Amino acid sequence: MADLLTHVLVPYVLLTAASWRYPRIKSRWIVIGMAGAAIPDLVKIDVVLDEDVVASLLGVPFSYDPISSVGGLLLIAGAIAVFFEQRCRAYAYLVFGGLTALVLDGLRVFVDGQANFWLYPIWWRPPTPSLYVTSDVRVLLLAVLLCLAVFLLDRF
Amino acid sequence: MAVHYDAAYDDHWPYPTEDNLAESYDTHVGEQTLLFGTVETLDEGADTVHVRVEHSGGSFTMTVENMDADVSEGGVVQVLATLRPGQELQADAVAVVNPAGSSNLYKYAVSLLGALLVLVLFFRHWRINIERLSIEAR
Repeated sequence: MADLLTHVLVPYVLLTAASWRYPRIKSRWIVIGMAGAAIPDLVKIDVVLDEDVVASLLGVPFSYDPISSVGGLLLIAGAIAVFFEQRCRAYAYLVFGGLTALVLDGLRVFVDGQANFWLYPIWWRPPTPSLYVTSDVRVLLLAVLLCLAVFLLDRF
Repeated sequence: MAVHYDAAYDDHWPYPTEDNLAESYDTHVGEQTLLFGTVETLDEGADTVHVRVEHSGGSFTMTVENMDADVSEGGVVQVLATLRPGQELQADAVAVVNPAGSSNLYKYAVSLLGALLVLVLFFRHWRINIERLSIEAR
């Protein structure tokens, strides 16, 4: 996956630009979109609690990978959205942010040209244009530059 | 979902998995596979590297032949290759995921920055009401 900073900057750029045309998109909702972009990265919980340990405790096959897929995103965003008064709105922003992160991840390099399981459970391995690897600094630089441009345009 | 995914994984992943190779390498010789490995040693003259591949019970080492990529020890590569006897891979295509061991540090540092940014912005616009168990606009 792209790094988390790139992930959260992308919905900021898209939603802020959209807010120029649709004033209903307030900055507090843009933040929820950014938070949504972090949902697929919750897969990194594996660093804290190894999935193989969970699998052996439960005695069934177990993987965190669906957290970083469309199916997992729809579920987790729902679990978060119930805490908001405007649940549907919160859900829409969380899912939007999460989708931008998943799409971005879907463009990563896979040497056989098929991406990982980000569209699970709809499509197991969609094709990928193999545009970048996560450690590629240019991806972050591009995101930061776009973010700065949008931030300045938004202010002035 | 977490259970279904893992149970169905092998049917949808077209190559022998790391666990398959750890359990019964010899039955997969001649097949193509896609592996992620950490570079342990490099032999640049011979285009050969030794990579460590993780599986659920530990790790094993593979020798990758025909390795045409710019990577240092500690870096991570993605290899599409044909399995040869004796834990050897004949690479068909290679991509460098992390050019060096420090790439992971970069990823974690930048990601931490992203997490902090979201947290700060979130609490500027929202607050958590513990009594009502809800998230409210400031």
